[in-house]
Amino acid sequence: MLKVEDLTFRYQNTLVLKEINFTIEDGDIVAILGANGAGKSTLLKCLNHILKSEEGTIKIDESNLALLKDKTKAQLISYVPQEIIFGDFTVFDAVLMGRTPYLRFELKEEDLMMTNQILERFHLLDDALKNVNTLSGGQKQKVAIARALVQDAKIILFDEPTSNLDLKNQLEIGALIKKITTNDKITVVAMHDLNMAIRLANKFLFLKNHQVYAYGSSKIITAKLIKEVYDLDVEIVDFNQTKMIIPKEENDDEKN
Amino acid sequence: MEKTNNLHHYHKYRKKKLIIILILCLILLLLMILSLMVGSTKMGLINMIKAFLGKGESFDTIIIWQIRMPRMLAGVIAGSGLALAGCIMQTILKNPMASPTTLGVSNGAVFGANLAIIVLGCGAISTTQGININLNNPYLTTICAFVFAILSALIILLLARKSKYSAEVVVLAGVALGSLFSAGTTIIQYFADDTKLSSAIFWTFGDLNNATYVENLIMFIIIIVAFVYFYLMRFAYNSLTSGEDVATSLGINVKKIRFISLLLSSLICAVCVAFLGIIGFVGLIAPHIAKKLVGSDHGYLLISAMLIGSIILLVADFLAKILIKQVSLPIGAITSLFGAPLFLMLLIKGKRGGYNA
Repeated sequence: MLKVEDLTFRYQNTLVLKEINFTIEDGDIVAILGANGAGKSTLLKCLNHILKSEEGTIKIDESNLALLKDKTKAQLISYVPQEIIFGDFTVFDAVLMGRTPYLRFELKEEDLMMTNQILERFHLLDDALKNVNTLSGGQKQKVAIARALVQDAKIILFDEPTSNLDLKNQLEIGALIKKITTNDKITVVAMHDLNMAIRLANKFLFLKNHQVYAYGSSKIITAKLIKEVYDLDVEIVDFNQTKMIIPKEENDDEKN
Repeated sequence: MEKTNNLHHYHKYRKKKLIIILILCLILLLLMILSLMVGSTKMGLINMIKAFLGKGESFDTIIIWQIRMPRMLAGVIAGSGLALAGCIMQTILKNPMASPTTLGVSNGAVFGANLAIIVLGCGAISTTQGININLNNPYLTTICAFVFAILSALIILLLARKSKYSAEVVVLAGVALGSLFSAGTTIIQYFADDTKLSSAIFWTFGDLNNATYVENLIMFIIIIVAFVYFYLMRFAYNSLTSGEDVATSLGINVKKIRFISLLLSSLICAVCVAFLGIIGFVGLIAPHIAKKLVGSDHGYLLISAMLIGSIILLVADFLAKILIKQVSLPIGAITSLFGAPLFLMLLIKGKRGGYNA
């Protein structure tokens, strides 16, 4: 369980997040949604103390994040950034980097075995000794997810995991994220694409005016909510029991 | 079966990197021997070995132990130190153009030395053969250079602390402070007489001849201490190549590691510049060559960069000895002369895979 209580974050005296409260249960995939500048990425980064807020608490099960050591935090929460950068590493070494929170002085055979297992699961074994920077965007994203997974953390945070990918890769990465979120794990995804979010997540957290505006299952997603959060008129249709959000064009009303 | 097979490939790939390091060690060893043999007095391999063991002619023994050995050691130690500091600076500041001089350390050192030579009167007393300039108080000059080098680094670190160790701020502040010290140097030099001016300028020429055993030992200790810290932190440096956010999410205290790394790198640079003068380009270019050979894994990169730094300085010193007969050119001029085109070549060749797996 991940519990956020009264989290407030200021960036250089500007309020970005105000009194954020929510709880995520094990096995949940939560999409953080909201207009540009609503604080989606900031909230995500606050969850593992990449950004430290002065006010509020974050609890994982019963442990208070603020009281944990850096390495212990990293063993509980991993993070996949929006912009994926790698040095000149092989794919194997890039994934192995996820073991950093567990390393003291030397790599252990166990770290190598774990890396190898994940590479196999992600079908990356053939590219294991290639320079990671020679891979395509989608493949690099997979390597970054593999790195986060090798970190063996309960919670994985994703910042816009699909925004730089083509449609096929978006679907593939989406399916991968669903697959890795087992019953004992929690996934939190900051996203722009509402339709992608509906396909991926089972809980939705909408941010507006620095605060949580709505939080719940897909039932809460209505045309009214989208209008209130994004200031956009949309039509919501059911397609194979999945909601689809279609923006209304400006002159749609005029036609009617 | 396939799993073990794949790990076997990975182990083999790591072994390849070790072999590269071993080859670099051998090249360095050969250059060290060559460097003891070459100089204004010719000495064959056998005579050199005899002199090295103290069984040769006393003249040869003096040349080997009093002149060439400290000079060779200075090349090996300073070369490895500057390369190590450059490598860490480039990783920590996320800037491929960073080098040990980025924090304005060498400009600070030059200012300090100029202050000592021109204002505090450590200037020249003899200029007998045109280039044979002595300082009447070399220790005060070195101390002044060192103090200002460290001062420059500390000012930047204080500014960095205010900006929460932002890499951009550190680099820009380094440039600004460097030019401030340069301006100070120019003003001091403007009021200096010819002899003082020439010895002040001569001081800035990086020269391995300046080093004694004691100075080599001091440089060695500082570099070894820094290396141990850097090597223990190698996994942290690796994670920093994926950006600060990722490093933090992997449990790295980025601010702390940035502060200690900058401090140790500046210390290495300060001690090298204070003892030997400015030796440019080694700290910039050696890490780039090392990255081409072994990739960004700091477990291999740090050692490779150090070996390459030593190799570059010994080759440069060899060229400094033989380019013009009877004259030993300052090594700083050679490293910049050959380092700049080499660096351009690396830039033009660009990133071509970086290394072979």
